Amino acid sequence: MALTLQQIRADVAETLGEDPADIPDDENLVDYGLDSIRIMSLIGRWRRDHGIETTFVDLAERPAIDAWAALLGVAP
Amino acid sequence: MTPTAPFDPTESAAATHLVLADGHGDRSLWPGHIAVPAGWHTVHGPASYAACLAHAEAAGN
Amino acid sequence: MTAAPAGTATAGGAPLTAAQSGMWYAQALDPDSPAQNTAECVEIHGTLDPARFAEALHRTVGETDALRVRIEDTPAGPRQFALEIEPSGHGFPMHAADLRDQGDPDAVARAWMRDDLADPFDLATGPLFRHALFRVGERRWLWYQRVHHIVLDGFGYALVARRVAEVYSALAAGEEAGPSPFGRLAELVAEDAAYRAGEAYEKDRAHWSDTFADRPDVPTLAGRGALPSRTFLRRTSTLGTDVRDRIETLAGAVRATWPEVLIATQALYVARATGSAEVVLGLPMMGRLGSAALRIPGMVMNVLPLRLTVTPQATFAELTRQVVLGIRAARRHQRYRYEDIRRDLGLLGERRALTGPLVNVMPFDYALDFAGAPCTAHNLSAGPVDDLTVNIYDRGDGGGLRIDHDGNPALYTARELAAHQDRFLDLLDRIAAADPHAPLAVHGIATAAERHLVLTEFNDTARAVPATTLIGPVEAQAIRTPDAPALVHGDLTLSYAQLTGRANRLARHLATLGVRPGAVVAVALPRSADLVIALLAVLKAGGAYLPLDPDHPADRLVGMVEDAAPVCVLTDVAGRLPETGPPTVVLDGLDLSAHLDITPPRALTPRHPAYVIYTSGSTGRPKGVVVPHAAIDNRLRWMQAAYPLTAGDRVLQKTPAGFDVSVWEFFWPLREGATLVVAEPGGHKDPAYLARTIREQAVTTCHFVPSMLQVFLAEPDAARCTGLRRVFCSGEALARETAQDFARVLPGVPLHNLYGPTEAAVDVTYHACRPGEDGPVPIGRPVWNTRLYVLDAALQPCPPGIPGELYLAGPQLATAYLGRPGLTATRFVADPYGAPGTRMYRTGDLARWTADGEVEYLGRTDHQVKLRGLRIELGEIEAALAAAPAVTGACVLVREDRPGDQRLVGYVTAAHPAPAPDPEELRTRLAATLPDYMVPGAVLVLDDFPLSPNGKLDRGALPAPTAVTGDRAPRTHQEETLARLFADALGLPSVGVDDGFFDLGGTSLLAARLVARVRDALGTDLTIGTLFQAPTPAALATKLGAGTGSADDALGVLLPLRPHGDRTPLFVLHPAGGISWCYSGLLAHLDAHQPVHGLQARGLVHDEPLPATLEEMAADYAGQLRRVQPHGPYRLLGWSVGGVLAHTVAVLLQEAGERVELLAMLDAYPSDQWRDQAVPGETDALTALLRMAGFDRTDELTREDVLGTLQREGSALAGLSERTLSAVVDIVVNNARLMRAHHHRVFDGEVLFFTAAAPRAEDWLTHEAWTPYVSGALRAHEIDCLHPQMTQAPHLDTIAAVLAARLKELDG
Repeated sequence: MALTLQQIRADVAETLGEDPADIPDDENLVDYGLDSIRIMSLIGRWRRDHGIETTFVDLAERPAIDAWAALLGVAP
Repeated sequence: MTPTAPFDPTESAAATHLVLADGHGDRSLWPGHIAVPAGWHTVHGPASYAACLAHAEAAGN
Repeated sequence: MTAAPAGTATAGGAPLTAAQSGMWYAQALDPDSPAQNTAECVEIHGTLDPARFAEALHRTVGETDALRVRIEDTPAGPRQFALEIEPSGHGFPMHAADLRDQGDPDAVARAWMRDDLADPFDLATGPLFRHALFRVGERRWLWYQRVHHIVLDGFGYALVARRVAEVYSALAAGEEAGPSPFGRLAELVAEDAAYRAGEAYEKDRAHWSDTFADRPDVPTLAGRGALPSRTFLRRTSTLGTDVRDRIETLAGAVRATWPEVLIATQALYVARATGSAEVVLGLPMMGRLGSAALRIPGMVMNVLPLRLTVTPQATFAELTRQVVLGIRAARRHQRYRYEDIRRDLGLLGERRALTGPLVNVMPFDYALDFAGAPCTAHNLSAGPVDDLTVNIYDRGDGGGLRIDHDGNPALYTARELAAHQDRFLDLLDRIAAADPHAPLAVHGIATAAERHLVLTEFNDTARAVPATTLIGPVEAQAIRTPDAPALVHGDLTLSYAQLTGRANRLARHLATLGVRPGAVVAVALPRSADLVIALLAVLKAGGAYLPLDPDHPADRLVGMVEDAAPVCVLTDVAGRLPETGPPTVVLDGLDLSAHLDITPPRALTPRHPAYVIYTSGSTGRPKGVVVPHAAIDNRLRWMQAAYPLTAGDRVLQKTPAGFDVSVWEFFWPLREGATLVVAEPGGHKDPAYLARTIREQAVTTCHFVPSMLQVFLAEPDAARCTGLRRVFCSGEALARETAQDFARVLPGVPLHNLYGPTEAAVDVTYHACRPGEDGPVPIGRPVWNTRLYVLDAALQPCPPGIPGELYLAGPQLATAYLGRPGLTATRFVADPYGAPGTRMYRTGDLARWTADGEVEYLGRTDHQVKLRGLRIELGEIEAALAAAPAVTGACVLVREDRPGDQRLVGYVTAAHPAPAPDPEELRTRLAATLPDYMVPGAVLVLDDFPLSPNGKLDRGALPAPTAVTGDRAPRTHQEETLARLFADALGLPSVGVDDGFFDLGGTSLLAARLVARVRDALGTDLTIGTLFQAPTPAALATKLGAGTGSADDALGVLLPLRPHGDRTPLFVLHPAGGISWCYSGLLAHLDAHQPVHGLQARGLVHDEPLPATLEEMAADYAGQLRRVQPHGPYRLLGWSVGGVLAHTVAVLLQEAGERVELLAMLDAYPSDQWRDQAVPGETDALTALLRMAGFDRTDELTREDVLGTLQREGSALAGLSERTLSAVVDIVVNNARLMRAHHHRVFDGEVLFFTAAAPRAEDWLTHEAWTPYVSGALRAHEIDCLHPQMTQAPHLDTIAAVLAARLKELDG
């Protein structure tokens, strides 16, 4: 199953304990509580559920939903 | 270094305390968030510290 | 290895990042410390090609700027300079070894690693890393790397390790490793500089300053800080996958991650282990999210302080939420350095901590593989450990979590560290299994084993006791030994039969007045046989006695009577108390003959009250503690079993009946057939009296409050109280020094430390002091049937070593506070750990268990204090002050401005613009209702109370009272001596003669010391009572009488400085001015039994012809001293002219056939030394007068000048009349003339000589000048002072010490 932007939003929101509607796509997710552990759990989830391989450094470099969508080749 | 004391007087009106009785006429103030010891039962509260103190005072007189 | 030559560093290189600066300064504190080494060991499983490995390593180092620097200080601050790293094999810092042939290859490798880890790097030279590769098996390799923390942090390690593996795997596959994935160090430096120059930096700084604006005291697990250590202790455990899974499930349930759950658990642990709801944890953060640093190995990590409030009411879910939101907020400002926060808050200077323990969660799994060979990584050192760091590693691979507790060895022993870790893991386990929405109160930090230890094993005190009362066994004893001595008071001795007979009569009388079980009888009698009879009588009638101390203010006693509503008041004489409601029974003249002298009937049970004792109340009214018979009976039965009394024992009754210690003094001996020795009223404050009484009355058993014991031990006669078989201390903390002093003064006499509040029948714990023990004296183990609980804020048991509040349980608990059911309910509360439906009493004392089952007292949780064993609620005094008109606020403290001297000081604020209250009036007002020990020695009126940053009263900022001394100069040498002794005792520079001892802050403890010193110095038998009646030096001098009335008495030829004593008297001869007062400073340092008489010049008081020759003067003096001591051996001493006189007198005495066994001179020189000097005129005489008083002047002098100087300096000489001053001038001139004319004969004996050895104009003077005139040795001592200073402290003290030693030799 392919990863969609909406899914990214939902997964991120769940990891951060927030409502997806409360996290703008271009905001620095660190401000919303993103940390290494949460990044690792997203990496694990996306590998497991969607077969996508990412590295910590990839995601950590620009921690924002739109950046990640671009990185992962997800259609906007 | 003072432990937060469960029996210290407080002016707060919050219902934080209980009055317990042991069946022999003794009364004990008790903090509401700590399990009531065996052999004691609640006779007042949850109520404010002041209310519990007044209850215990009246019950003894 | 080439490097830029040292010392050529200029402004080349690059600056350090802020993170690196922090490390630089830390290393600079201890340049040889290896603490900043970080190290890892990667275990590689499989085939490995060492050469290829070295190549991969070298290549990676070449890509990593951070590893190729050295750091050196320059005028522009420390900078990092690039370093060339040679290719492998040419000095590359890598050690390789094949250990397969070793017996234990891993052990050898580990030993090598350990040694290497202890090596510090040389920052200025570099390189700042070192590698090693050990082959420890066919397919096992250990790759060790050590790096200085200043260049690389944990994330950096991971980047480097992964690259090495990548390069190796590529090389092994014959491929190209690809371009370096790393950025340049310069980018890190630039990013750091940009931050510090930007707006965010200021915002971040402000955020942290705000967060810590209130400068909280940060609790740490060791309770103190220490300097950074060179090493650390590590304790490692693994958290199993099962627990780990449950933790993850829990994390999901509370919308957090598993590290946040661990952090929350640590916060809970720290809060309960330190007794503080406010906790600050340190969270190391890699700090690279969203930063270029993600791809640049370097030192970037920072520690974020996280403030949390952990209360027992909150749930774990709420606590975790606090953690999540707290970290989120902190991360927004995480680039601001931890070291900078400390600096901003001013913590560096005070070396105060910003955080408690650090919690370092490292979830990174390298997933390294070297051409297919998998790895496991182990951390060996994570850098310096200031206090405690909890490092948590998740290496993936289903191996659970590895947890390292790293501790500073200056703060934690290995055992303590292990305990902290075991408890943390146990707590984690329980939290993972518990409902996160239950209050945190359900969790304690003790492991199950520790709970059992402190609740059950340490409290294994159950003991069957018969159901008797306090009085029953006394009556049974009286039947067994009716003729044995029961009570002694002065000359009066009463047998058991007599004592109980009298008590029975009185009891029967009381019964007719309605005294019966449950009734209270107030007893107001001074200490006497009648007091004992009265107490027994009340008990015999079945009533409970309420002791009223006759020394307390009448108002206070009346208040207690009104509060307790006793059936009647028993007193000795009419008028002792004002009229109160209940009828008064006056013993004086009471005819009890109509009553039988046998035990009256009564339906008394152990549950009935035995006594009611009032204690200080925090809201202003004292409260009555009702103690039932069962409680005190348990206490006395235990005491008899622990310290068995026999018929030969004699127990001293000295404690006032209003303090519950007196209960065992009164009744214990009477239950066991021993004798009760009743001390005089007031005697308990007089150590000399106590020592005498203990000896004379053969007392075997007595009690002291520790501060009184200290005073007693200073009493010379205390050491002679060897008949004591046991001494008890209770009432306040017993200092180890006092126990050690006791062992020295009374070796072989057991000393026992007991503890207990009035609310628990006198004492509930006991500890036998043993010589050679160290550290605080514990209060000990629980007595029979008693349980002690040390509980945290959630009423959970604290494990040994962890402080908490002390609660007591068992039959010794009082029934209630009389008439105060509400208050009773707040202090006698339900016991969660005893039998169902039982109570426990909360003491308000902080305490902790030791590992072997004793309790240590740590202080109070509130504002109750003990002053010399007397329990005082500061609130009661504050309420009394606040009730005074014009007072708007009151605060009372116990101050210890001089170590060991505690005193009460009150502070009030007043209403404006009304006139300020007068401190003395306030004190007088308090004295009307409070006992004297509760009246503050000083009351200060302040404009405002000082407040701390969080708005609370800052007690530490309240000012110390300053002593104000009076104006009048002393008139007599006795006044002068006394004023000086007062000043010494009070620790003040000076005291005026009309200043009251107690007004200046004197306490009865200090009074006892003063009295002892006065006795030593003046030889008079002063009692403390006299001091209370005459508390100023002037009044006391008057009262001491015996020739001290007027100044003239002190100017006679013979001056009795200390007339009493059984040693051979010492005669001291006047210096040039003719007056011998200057020698009074010797008295305190000579044996108390050494009499001292001064000889003074004729003509001081009356007009008398002055002697014409020195010989005539000496003969006159010899005659005078033979009136005191008709025959030798004689002891003579003189300063200046007095020394010359002493020699002359000594020769005369010898020529008369007498022996002179001591001739001492203070800087005196024979006549021939002066013969050629000019005869002094008036100026010289006045100079001499000043010198006599201890001052050296050479300016133009007039008599007015001199008088002025003497008055200003408070010298007794200032009180001399004009006439006397005139006489002194004449005497000086005459003496000088006579000296020059004199010719010495030879003294047959030795001389003890003291030279004023400081440089002086008359540098030819030497003691050897006496050689022609002294047949024996001249034993000379040099005193580093000038001539005029010889009779002043501290020089006179030195002289006195030598003199005292010589006198002791002569005494034999």
